[in-house]
Amino acid sequence: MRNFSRGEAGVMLLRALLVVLLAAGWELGVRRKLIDPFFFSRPSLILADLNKILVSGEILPHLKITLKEAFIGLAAGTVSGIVVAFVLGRLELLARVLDPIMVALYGIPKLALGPLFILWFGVGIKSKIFMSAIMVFFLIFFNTYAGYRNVDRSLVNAVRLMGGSGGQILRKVILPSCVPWILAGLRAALGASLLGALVGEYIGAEAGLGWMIQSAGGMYDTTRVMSCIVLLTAIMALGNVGLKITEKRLLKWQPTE
Amino acid sequence: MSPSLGYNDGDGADNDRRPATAGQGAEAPVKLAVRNVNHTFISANGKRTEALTQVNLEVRDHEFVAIVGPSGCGKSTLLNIVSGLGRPTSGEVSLDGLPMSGISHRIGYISQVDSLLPWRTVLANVELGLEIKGVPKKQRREIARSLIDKTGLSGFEDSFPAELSGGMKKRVGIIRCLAMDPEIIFMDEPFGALDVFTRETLQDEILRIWQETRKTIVFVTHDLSEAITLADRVVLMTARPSTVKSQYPIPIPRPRSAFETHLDPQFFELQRLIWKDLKSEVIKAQGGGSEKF
Repeated sequence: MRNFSRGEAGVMLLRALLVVLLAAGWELGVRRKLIDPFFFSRPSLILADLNKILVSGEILPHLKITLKEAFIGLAAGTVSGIVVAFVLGRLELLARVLDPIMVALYGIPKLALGPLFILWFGVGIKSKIFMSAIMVFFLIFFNTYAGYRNVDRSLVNAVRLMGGSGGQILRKVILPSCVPWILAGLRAALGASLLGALVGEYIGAEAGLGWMIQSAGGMYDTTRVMSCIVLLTAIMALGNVGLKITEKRLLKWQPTE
Repeated sequence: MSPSLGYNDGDGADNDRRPATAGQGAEAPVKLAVRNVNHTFISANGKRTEALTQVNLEVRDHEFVAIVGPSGCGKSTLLNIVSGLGRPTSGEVSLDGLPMSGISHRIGYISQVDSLLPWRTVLANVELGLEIKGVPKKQRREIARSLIDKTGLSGFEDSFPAELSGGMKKRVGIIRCLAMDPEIIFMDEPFGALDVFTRETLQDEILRIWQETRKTIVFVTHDLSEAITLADRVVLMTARPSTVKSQYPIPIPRPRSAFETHLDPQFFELQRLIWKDLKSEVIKAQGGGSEKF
């Protein structure tokens, strides 16, 4: 156990070292005029810019809006994905009717729907939430549905033989069996929810990180674009850590090896 | 070996109407009755498979009956029908003289695969049935804990099934069933996948449980020696389409232990006698099946 954690710490140290080395190489490359800062900026400038926009609070309203869009989109897409998967899991005929339609809808590049969403929901937060939710929905839906199909029949039968009602079977067998599948879906959905919000903002918005990147890019402010990207990376990393912790808690029953 | 030991009349639809054993079951009332049960499977492509034909069987209160037959003979189908999971194509199953319809909480079922919920701890798994019944938390915890202690699983209350050995999982499955205090327990080849030593200790466990609770048990197995070790009566089923071929009372005295029973001279005699009868069905099941379809 101790050895393991020490190994883990070692890996983290090496990882940090690699990031620092890359940043140092980048910085050095720019200073030696090997890399054009117009296109790539440089780490010290990015850090200074990040510090500025965070301390001044300039970035905060944009950050808040994008996170809000992504989070509501994630929640709505997850819940609706699970509900629809369970309904179709239950109603096999409907599932067979809808199957190719769902696959076709999933295949539409969501970016193409952007103008429609703006038309329907306006340039405000709603169109971004919708974009985010729809991207999340399909990921969660397909995963949960596969999970529903994979529920161990012998477990369902065992609970039925104990006199379990349909609702009890759903709560005590089907939902917990689907949890690993839902979590796998969430892992992909986490990125998709943020992507949906950003893409929505690219198409038309008045605020948000996506809007900020877009407008900074328009002004050739590479440093600001990079600052926003660093921020997004940090958000994703945090989200993933949160998800990992959730997974560990919810899936502690799964054999580790 | 006296021929009077076994009722071996081969083709009777009512060969079960006779009293089971002189000792244990004769005066006890009939708990479970299977009458003229037929079952035919129709597969997706329309192929009909006759699994059970004219099955008649009576199990008396507190009796331990083992059903033996070649693999694929429809033993599990029969158990599914009597447990209420499936309905027979025709025929009737009654419990305490009343026709059975669907699943009853008076029946416990232990299946071939251990169907423990993998995300629940041992304790939570044992509580499952009581939870479904709506027993208050404190009370069901008490019942589960005392059963866990009795089965030698204490210390594993908070373990998940994946952390247990095959034998331990079976024990949990058995006490999960006992926790609901069913009147009759069906077991479908419960120890099939276990090694010999684990099997024997679990057989002892079942013998102990029967001795203590006197529950009516119907135990399906393809292992003849297991059937003789455990049961008051061995019911032999034919190859498909399956029916009751013959029945043998097992007069080996109780309380039994798996190990001691295997050394009993009666055990060998019974095994020889029943095996002769069973062998022809096994051969039929292996060779005869393919030419029919």
